[in-house]
Amino acid sequence: MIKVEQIMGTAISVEIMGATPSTFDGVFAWFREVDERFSTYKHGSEVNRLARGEIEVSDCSEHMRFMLDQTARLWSETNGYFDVYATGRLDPSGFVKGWSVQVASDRLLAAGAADHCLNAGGDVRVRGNPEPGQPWRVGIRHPFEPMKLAWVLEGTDLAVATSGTYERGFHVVDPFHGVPAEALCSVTVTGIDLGRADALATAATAMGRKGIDWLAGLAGFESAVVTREGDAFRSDGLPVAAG
Amino acid sequence: MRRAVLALAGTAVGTTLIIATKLGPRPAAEMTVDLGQTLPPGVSPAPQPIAPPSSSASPKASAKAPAPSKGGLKDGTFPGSGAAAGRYGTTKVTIVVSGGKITDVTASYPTGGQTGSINARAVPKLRQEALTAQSAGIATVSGATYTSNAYKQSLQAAIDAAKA
Repeated sequence: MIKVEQIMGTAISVEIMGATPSTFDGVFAWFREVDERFSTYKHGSEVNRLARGEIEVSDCSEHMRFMLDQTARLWSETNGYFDVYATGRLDPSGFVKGWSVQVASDRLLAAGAADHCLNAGGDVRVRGNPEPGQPWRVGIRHPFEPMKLAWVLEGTDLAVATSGTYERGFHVVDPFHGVPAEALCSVTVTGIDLGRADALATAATAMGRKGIDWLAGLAGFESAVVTREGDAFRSDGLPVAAG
Repeated sequence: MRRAVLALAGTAVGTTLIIATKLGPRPAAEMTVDLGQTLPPGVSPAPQPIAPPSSSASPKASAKAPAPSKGGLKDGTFPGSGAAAGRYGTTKVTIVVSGGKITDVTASYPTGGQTGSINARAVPKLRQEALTAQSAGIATVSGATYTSNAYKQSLQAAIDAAKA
């Protein structure tokens, strides 16, 4: 069964094999909770109150403090290119969406719903199988042809995050120059942790062309890139579908 | 007759492989390969074709590659002639040209001893390949974040609707 709801300013598709409606309710309730807390579009959200200095870090929820800790580590790991302050104000969207999907997937697995496919605005986490013996097949959108795919991946325990310049309303900012990063029009990072994959894809996009070599050196993650000129690159270990 | 120009330039301490290619309808490709080695002045190995590319060697490229344009590169596999012995050992670079474009670049490295351990760290590199536009049976689509409005026009929406 599959259900779709509009949360976090995007569409979240949740497919769970053999699940009851209440299982879906729990998943969407989690995403609404994340949105209330982390949305920069909601005036009274915890993240905005923190950004305005109305509350201190010590007053924050466990999830907010976890986010701050994780994004600080990612800032360091990415040489400053993943920066939740890149736009001049606290905006952890580049981590929160992927992380929240990862948490939802972890909770489903723990609850016994081992076969599922979650997609929040293009950030994907799959586990198990859609049918016995079959892996999930995940397409990577072609940056210039909206209804086509640049790659098809498959896996039974796979996180796929893509950062791109082709959808309106979201721009990755190069934190060192304060301008939109446009050299790489699609950056996909795969692994098992969607929050980190999401942030690493954002960081590589911010780096521009030098992000291509940087991605190649990441341990535990695979990657696929399309440049503005249409040049395509991928790591040898990218889990490309066999046929 | 035009041909790819392969130039080896080195520093004594560099260990990364840096390849810059100029592709498309222009007379020649330029490659700069930093292999962490120092070559004598004037050593600039010219590539020679040794075999036409087999279709199995680069299936994606052959499936989508346009016919070679007048200004494109000649198809074939081009090893840097005369593997160069540098400070960190003997290295050989080979490029594959298909449909007038460079579709693959490989470099052989020394694998033994201290030199081998240095070069093992130099290898990570994303592989360049032809960009394809596929239609395939998939469960879901990863892409840049779409707005709720843009979702309605998306491939993901079509997939979700088909499953619902």
